[in-house]
Amino acid sequence: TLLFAQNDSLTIVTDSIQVVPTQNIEDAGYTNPQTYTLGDMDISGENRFTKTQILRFTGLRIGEELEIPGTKINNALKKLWRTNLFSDVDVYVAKIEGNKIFLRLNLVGLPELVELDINGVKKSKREDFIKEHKLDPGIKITNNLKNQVRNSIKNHFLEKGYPDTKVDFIESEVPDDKTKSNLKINVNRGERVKIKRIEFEGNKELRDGQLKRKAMKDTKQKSINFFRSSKFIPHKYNDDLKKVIDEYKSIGFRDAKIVSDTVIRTDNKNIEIKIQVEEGRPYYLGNITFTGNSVFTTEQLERVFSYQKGDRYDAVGIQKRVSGSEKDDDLNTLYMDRGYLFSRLLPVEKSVKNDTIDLEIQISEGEPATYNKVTFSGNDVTHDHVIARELRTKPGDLFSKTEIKRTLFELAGLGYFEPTQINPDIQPNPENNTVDLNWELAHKSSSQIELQGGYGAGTFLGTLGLTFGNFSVANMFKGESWKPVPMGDGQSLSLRAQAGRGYQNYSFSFTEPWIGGRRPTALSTSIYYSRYNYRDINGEEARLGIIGATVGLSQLLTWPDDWFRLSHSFSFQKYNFDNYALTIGEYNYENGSSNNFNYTIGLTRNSMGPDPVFPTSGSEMSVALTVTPPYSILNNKDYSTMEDVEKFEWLEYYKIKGKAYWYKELAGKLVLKMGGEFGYLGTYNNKIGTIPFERFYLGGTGLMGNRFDGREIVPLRGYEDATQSGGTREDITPTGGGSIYDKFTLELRYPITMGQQAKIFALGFAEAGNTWSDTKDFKPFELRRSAGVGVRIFMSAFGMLGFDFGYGFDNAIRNSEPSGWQTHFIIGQQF
Amino acid sequence: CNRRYERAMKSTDKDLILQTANEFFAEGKYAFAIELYSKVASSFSGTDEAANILYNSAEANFQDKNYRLAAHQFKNFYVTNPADPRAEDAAYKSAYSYYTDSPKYNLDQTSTYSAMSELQSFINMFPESPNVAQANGYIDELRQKLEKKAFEIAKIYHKTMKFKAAAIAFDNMLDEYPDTKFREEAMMYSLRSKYELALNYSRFETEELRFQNTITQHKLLLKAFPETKYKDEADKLLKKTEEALVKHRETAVKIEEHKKAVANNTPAK
Repeated sequence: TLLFAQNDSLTIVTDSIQVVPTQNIEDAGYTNPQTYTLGDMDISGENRFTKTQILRFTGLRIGEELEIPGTKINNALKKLWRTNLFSDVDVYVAKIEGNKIFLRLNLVGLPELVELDINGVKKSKREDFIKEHKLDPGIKITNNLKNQVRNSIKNHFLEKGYPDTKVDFIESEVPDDKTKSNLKINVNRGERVKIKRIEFEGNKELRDGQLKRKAMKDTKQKSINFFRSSKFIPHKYNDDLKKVIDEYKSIGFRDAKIVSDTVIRTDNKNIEIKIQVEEGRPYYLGNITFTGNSVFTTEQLERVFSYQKGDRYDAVGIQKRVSGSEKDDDLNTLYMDRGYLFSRLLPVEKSVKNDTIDLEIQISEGEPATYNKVTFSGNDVTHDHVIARELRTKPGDLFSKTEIKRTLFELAGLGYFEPTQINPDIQPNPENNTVDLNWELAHKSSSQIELQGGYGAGTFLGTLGLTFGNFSVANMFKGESWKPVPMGDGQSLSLRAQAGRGYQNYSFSFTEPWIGGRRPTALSTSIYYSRYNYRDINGEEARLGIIGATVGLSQLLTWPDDWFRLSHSFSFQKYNFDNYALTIGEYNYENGSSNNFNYTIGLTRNSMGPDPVFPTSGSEMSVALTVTPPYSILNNKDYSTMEDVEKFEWLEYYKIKGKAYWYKELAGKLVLKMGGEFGYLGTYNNKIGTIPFERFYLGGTGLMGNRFDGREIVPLRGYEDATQSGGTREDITPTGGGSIYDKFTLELRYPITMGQQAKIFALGFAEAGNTWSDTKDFKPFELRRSAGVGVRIFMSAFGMLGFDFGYGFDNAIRNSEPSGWQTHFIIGQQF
Repeated sequence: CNRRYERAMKSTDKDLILQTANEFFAEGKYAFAIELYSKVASSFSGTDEAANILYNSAEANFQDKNYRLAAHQFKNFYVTNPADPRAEDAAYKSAYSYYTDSPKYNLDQTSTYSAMSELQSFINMFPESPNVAQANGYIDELRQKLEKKAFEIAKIYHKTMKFKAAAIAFDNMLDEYPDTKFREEAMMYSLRSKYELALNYSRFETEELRFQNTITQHKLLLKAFPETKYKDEADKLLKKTEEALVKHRETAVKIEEHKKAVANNTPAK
């Protein structure tokens, strides 16, 4: 007699178990289970397992007590199913002797996969399916597995616009072994179906085009635009229909509904969609009242809420303004930033009179919440202190949404964690008005090895570079931490060597972001050495060597606000010429040396963000002053009769620089960048004049040219790159470079894609700048103007790439024609 | 060696793969054995060999120092084969692997928590095992690691002058690990943090409460450690706090008088 039966298509369905009582246990019905001892278990059916193995699967033991029916036998069956080894499992009662029960299990084994063949799917995708469903040799071919594979293949093609995909399974037994099968999966994706037309009916307030553009974002009509792929994905289509209603709600049509929508397949490749809407009538906002507010005044709340009496009743926008705005400019955020995590805000329609709705925003403020336990997890490499010192969400602080976001940016900015995987896990404890916060982190490698060869500067160049972004000096002498290098203290160490024919360059730099102390103070040092040599026309050796070192400290300030940084640095460079014909400005050097020892003090404020590649808000500002010792005052030498080489042996100058750029999101995603900069190179002693080093070269994008002389290249689009010594027909930089410059920029940027792999944005710009050799020529508003458009692509592997087409409206110094159109390529730097 | 591995890896004969895997295992070439065991495991599921494959694979990972994997596989072994004579050994090795995988105190401690719970469940499952004493020792060691972590993070707050955060962090740590060996030091740090917060970083309205907190912390410290080595420093902080509190109250009285005077519209004294 069959006691229990289940079949494969039901995974585990215990309540479908049938009990067919035998003559011996007629009195042991469903309602009255009886206990037996398991006498023995017979196995029948087609399978390759021994009785002992089957018993092990079931977890039953001969001689153990069993209730029939009961949970033990149910569990035994479940366990057999879970092995995924059988296509059929039946239990029968063979016989009953006294209180001993003898059971028989009839099992049908499932075929085992040997060879798999998938047709009609791209190779890479085929491997994805195999991985996803573990279709390796030895797996049991169950119906469930086949269904899953079928569904995942169908879904894959559906998302690509193929709704008619057919998936066929052809199973063939392996000769001589009934327990094994070969499986062939034939996939026929069918025709790609596009949306020929989307038609709206009944719409008066919003045109077809508006609805298509704003609401049907994932259900697009076929068009000549290559990037707008048209496909029909049912679940996205349903979402889009909801967006149609939301569009109406956002302009006050609060009763709008979709009366009907039809999707018609006109032929193999095309469908048409008809959507009938009923708009209803527009509603307007009546009186707006706030109740329950004590922390903020009604005026403050009204300002943030921004909707006013008489406005169209924008149900969607009102909800967002109350809580859940993407831009965090809603009322809930206002409360959250003051620590009122437990506040609740609810917009309630108090009354609807004709077309006017009175709104009451009910507020329950609760008590402000503070952080209690603040922890972080996932820092497998980075040490606790590096994270703890960055946190702006510390125990005892008031809960603040803004500070959580800022901490998130700052943790991401360290570069030691996957930015997308940083997650603040907030656990509120309403009973004592505290919040526990755990920062979930995931390690990201911040080390780079750069090994490259290339052709540059007329010779083959080989580069070897090592950068460790999360180094630990303290662990350098601990053997076990070398895996492969000591990491985790957040220091950065970089070594670079570059060599080519007649050229060598070595550099070393080290930065400790926090040398201790109570406020973040960073120490950075770098040393470099470059050597150039060649044989001149007489066959004699010519050499130029540059050696330099810099030590700097930079400290985060708390006043006027905590975006400010103050930095100090000392820097030294020595140039050695040996028969090396070098033109520095208007001077020619052959033998001798030049030394530049200076001190720089700088103040920066950088609040641009959140994405450093495409900032949408904030600003960057900096001012810096560089000074050298006034040697000529101290040494009493007569500079008026001195040779150039001697005059510039120890460079004396001072330099002032400043810049400020603002970023602001205008309408939609359009971002405005505007600002300006200036620089001035001065001298203490008129007898020496302005030094030929450290000058400003304006024009182009500044990718060209060497920088032996400490020059500063200031990009100005629409004009050609500055030449080696300036002053040519194409230059806007005077001969020998400028000693003073200014520049103003206005740029509109629009993001095309902000994906993980690549960020692309388009821009239009207008800028103007100029540089002068002498202060007495300086006319700050007599500028060289330009305008143009461009594109930028940022990929983390390559950095920033792009090009600009700029039109220069003004002429170069020795040219009467306007500069005209110029094409600029941008590599690696940011504008 | 490599050729034997390649041949087995490409083979579809599961017996050959298993045999080669066992040979590599016996020779101590664990990395090869692990790969082959994982390839062949599903083909032997349900057979007598399955348990051996799982155990050997776990052991190979253990020997190859892949503690995270070994821990997982040993656990899998004793859960699926509770009656196997190797179950106790597997349970211990699983717990031990978790223990070995626990990193330095200043890194993520997820493994430490797993290790503590695995060690505890080993002790519960095999209370008679000769390894119980050792397992208890490991648990203590791991708990001390967590104590040190909490203590060091609280110290970072103190060092960077985040005294409010430091005081809460030290107190939380003392609540969580009441028998910590850092108790005396942590209580003193808590006192220092509360003192700094009250005297140097408080608005007038919050001062009274924070002075009281400082005085209470002094009491707690001396009650727990009457002979504390920090006694001199603690008493000095207490004295300064009490002085400041007196001054605070005097000021408060003056403010009240001033307010009253203004209210009565007569000039203040």
